[in-house]
Amino acid sequence: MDQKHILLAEDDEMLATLLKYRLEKAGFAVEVARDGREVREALKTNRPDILVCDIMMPYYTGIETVDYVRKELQDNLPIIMLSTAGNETNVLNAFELGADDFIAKPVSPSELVVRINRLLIKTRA
Amino acid sequence: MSINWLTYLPVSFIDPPKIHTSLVWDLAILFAVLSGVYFLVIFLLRSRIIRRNKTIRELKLEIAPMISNFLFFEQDTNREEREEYITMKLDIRERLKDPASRMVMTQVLLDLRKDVSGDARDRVFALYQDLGLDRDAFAKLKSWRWERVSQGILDLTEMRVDRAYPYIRKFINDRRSVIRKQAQLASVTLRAEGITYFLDTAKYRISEWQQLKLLELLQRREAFDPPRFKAWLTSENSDVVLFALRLIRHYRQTDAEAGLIALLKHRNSEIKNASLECIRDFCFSSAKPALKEVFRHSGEESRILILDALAQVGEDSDMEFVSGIAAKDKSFIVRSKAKSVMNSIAPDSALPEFARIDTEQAVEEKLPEEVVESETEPVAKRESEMVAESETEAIAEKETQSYGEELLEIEVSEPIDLQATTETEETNLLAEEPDAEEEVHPTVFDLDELLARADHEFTDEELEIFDVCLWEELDDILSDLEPQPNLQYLPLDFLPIVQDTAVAPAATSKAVQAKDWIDLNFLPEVVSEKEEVRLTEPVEDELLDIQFTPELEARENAGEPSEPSADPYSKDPEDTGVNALPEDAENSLLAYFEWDSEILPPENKEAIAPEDLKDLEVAYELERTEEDTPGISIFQEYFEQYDTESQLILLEEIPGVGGTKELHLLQKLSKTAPEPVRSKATKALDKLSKRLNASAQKSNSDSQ
Amino acid sequence: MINELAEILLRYLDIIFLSFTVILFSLFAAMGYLATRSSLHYRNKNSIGDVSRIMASPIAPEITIIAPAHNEGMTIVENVRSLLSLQYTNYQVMVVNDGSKDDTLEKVIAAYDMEKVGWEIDPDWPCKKVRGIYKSRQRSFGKLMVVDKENGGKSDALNAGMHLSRSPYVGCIDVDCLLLPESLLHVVKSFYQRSQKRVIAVGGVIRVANSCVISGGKLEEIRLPKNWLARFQLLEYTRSFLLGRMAWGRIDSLLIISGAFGFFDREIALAVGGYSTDTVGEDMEIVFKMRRYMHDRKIPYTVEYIPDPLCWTEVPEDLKIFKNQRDRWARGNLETLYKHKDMFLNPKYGRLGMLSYPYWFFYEWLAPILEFVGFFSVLLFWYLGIINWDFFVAITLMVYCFATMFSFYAVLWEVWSYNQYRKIKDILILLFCGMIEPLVFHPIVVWSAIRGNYKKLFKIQAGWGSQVRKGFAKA
Repeated sequence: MDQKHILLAEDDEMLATLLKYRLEKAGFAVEVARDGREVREALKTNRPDILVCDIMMPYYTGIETVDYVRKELQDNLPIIMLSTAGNETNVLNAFELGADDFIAKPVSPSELVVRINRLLIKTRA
Repeated sequence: MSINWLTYLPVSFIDPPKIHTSLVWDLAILFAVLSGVYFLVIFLLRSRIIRRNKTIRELKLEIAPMISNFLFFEQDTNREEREEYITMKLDIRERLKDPASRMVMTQVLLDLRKDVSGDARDRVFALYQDLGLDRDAFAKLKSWRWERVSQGILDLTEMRVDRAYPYIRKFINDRRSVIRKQAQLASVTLRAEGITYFLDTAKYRISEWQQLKLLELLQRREAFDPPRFKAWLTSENSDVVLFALRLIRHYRQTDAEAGLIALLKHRNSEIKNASLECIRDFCFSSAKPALKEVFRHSGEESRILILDALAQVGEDSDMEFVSGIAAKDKSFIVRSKAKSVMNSIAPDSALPEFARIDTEQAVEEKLPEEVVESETEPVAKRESEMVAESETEAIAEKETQSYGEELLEIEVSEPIDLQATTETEETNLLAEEPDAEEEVHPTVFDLDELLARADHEFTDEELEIFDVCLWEELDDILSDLEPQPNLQYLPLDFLPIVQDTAVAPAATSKAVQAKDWIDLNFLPEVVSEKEEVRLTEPVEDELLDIQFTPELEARENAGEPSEPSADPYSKDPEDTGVNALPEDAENSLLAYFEWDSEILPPENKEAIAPEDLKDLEVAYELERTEEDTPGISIFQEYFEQYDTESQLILLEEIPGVGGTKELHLLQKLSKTAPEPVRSKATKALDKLSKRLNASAQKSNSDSQ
Repeated sequence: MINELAEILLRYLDIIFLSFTVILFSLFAAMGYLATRSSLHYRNKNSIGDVSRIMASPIAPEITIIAPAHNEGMTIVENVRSLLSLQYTNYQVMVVNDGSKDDTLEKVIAAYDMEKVGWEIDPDWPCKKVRGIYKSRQRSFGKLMVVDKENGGKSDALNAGMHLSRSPYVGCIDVDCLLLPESLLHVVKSFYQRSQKRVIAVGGVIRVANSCVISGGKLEEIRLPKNWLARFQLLEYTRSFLLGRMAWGRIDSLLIISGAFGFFDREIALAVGGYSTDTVGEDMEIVFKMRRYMHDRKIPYTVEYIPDPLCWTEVPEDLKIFKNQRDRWARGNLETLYKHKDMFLNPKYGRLGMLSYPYWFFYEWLAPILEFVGFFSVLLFWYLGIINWDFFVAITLMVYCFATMFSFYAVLWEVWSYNQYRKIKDILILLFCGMIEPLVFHPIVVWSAIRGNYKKLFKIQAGWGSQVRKGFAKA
């Protein structure tokens, strides 16, 4: 039962598959959502232990998703944002709305694993 | 008359004209038919685009998990997983025989490269080469169509195929601009020495955009130690000089001082301005005399830069010079600049900083007459004054132009009474109005040079290319919409690069110069007679150079994935000895030059001695009896199923994952199989036995 | 005797009329060909690379975007926000408030926390009085600058901006159009990619934004306009930008850069005195001036054209506004051509004088007039019963088929190059527009052009002056 459940919101199929594979290899259970709507669905049915969320997504952007989690769901689940470099305003916005961490694209999958682990430890403590 | 003419125009409908109506009908029908054709083409095109996107999407979905598997495959997993890995690898190679999947695969990897970083990215690069996709790119380099060549260069660069560097380098001075530019970017990306080579050899002009991109690539290089760019300040190519100046400024190479000051006198104003910017940023006070000297021959932009530079290094002794400018320069901007420079040189001088004044009262009191125009306060209230000002100004200018120098001296010295008296020399300086044309556009262009180099935009070649493109496109559309490869793909095997290269330079590089020898510091003794015959041409030297040196260099570079074409994951830690040669090259030599076992270093031959093997088998089998039912290797099956290429690949994998059963298989193969599988098997056998030996020893020592 | 004379005259007229048509058709065919080549070339070489690094390159030039605003209070804050979020580091946004009577200035000042600053203004530069210059107190809006001046028209506002800017390049845009984030990178690339010629101006495509989904200054979804007038204009724009300008750009004879998206080498633009304030066709006129300037000095130069869809704007959906717009264009055309009449067939100006100018003269200016006159003559002769029906029908049909074919070809290229309208229904609608355009939309265009010419030629100055801007009505 100590397998942690990650919700990965990423619209690029290739990258999503890759990250999913890598995270599963690192011992997580991973669910992938392709767009903002799917994220909301997934959040309703099965609350993950951590949300990894791309900023640029169809329907609802990452920013809106963060806002939704914090304001509407009133949930403090840890959130890591993925964003293209040079998109500073978005990142700042995301942090303001309550994102916990941020990792720039291009993503280093190993770094992502490390950050997830760290965040999980921090929230447990 | 013309009105009549127009009115009568439609009269042409009244009388039967000479032009037969049937012709008009024919034309109408032609156009109608064409409309119909376009209509069809639009929808065919659409469905083709949609279908292609769909196919690519589907293929991507299929390929994605495979790629993930490859990228994160670890050697330390259990045997089943490894076998699965190899099966998948063979599967994907089968699949890659289809050009469409090769394209998608390349596309996927290129995309992925942009999305991931760190070790995952390095693995993407390795995978690209491991799957042999780089050979497509190499093939593209030989195309006669510029966009293919350019795409090939781009692919190789994106995937950091270091081995491609010597090839790509040759395109740096290609006649076709797109290729040239791409090659320049590629050279700088692939190797740290690329920039040096580029600056040394660049013959064509380098556009600003290109400079911008090159600099971006340099910035991206990790641990980059920039060369001393002052070496290129004397280049014959003025764009090289310009780029060197920008690099000097960016990397703050202050050792270029003397060169920078010398360039102030350069007739190309762009170069002049660029060196002025350096001098300004580096605050060279030694440049002061030169700055003053060139001032009067400069355009507005240069003048402002000179003033900027003086603001950094100016002392009280320079006040005279600057105040002279502040009073008399023709340009408003230069004058106001001069004033602000005076302020920065001597902040306590009478002139306040005009740009930041808040109360206009104060300004009016403090400012001397001629500064008012640069007043920054709401213009509305001061308009009357300004008009008056500008009028005097205008008159002064007119007079300047109409009377000669003598008059001017008087004319201009009048309003300066507040300032220190100007030196005659400097008055002259300002009196010599720069030629109107020069001032309007501080000529960026070297006309002679421009004329000498005709624009290549409309060559016949391009026309032909266009036509071909067009027809290809149409053919594609009209043919039954299946992706029809009109490209000759290389067969998917470990075709030695030697084969590729032997054709490539011959096709593309009449221009290969003896220079290309420089890297040739390693000529392996294994070169067979066949090779030596070819060696007579410089082209072939280039080839050898490509074949061996880059890879050896790569090997030396710690941190970089060595042996770019070898599978990085199946590599055995003890994989040394004969493998000092890049595996790819080795295979190829084995395969194609019938490089028999005589050449194998003796110790390797010993290693495969049958006695050893037997011992090993015993030792190993004891270890693993429970785990594996002795008997036929799972690879046996593959060897029966697959063709030679796959067998070769398999042989490469076996040493990494295989056990005793594979030893048998390999022994068998090394005796019975046809070439080139046989020699490959011998080698694999050698490796595997070594590995097993090592692990057997290890377990022995553990148990002890 | 008179009959014979008339006979001969008619023969000549036939020939003239037919050669006019034949030349027109061949020109269009040539345009199609050139545009095709150009597109292929462009598609193959185009790639910007790593945007995030290039946009911050230390050697990237500064660009000032000048956005003249006149009574834009409703939308100005949102529009400025979108302008401030372009992907580029070294740029300024200069909003020139051209004596707005509404609260444009107040809204911007309030929204971006701006204060009046001192600024040096050259007294010699002729433009309407500048009342003040504002900058934001907040660093995050450091790129923004607002110039408040008295009303002087769009040209005057742009000139003021050009003069106050210190950047080597200035962009003149309509404040209500939407620029894609990567626009400036494309512009810089165009200015910087030539090594042998000086790029004096860069123009781009204007795309129709009607009915598209725009939120937060970003284009979220591209849709076909719901309004028929806008659909026709979309087709017309596609034809003119994708084929027409692409072709002219290919042979470096581009004579017009849209006022909604045009970038200039500031030095040259100022040297020719900026935009002319005495014409309504200032965006065309300035290109004429700059080209002549370079030609006269024999400096190698070029005008670049970016076919990527970077600038989106709403076209008029109201017939009256549309007619006024076209009327203004026709007048601007006439004024510009008249002002530079000495270029007509003047070999000194090379391709410009021998090809572009005559083309504009005959086919942009004269053609609508001929069509108009022809139409009424046909009616007249029909009434008189002296029409050769067979020939009339044949030639009308031929012209119609050609027009349709050309529109179809444009749609084909649209699909090939960008394929932005994904629904099959949208494409069908566009093609349908192409088929009925010569019957429905084209007469309106011709009528407006006639009206413009009439006004200009007979000096009726109604509805033009400093207040008129080429702003498009917002839906």
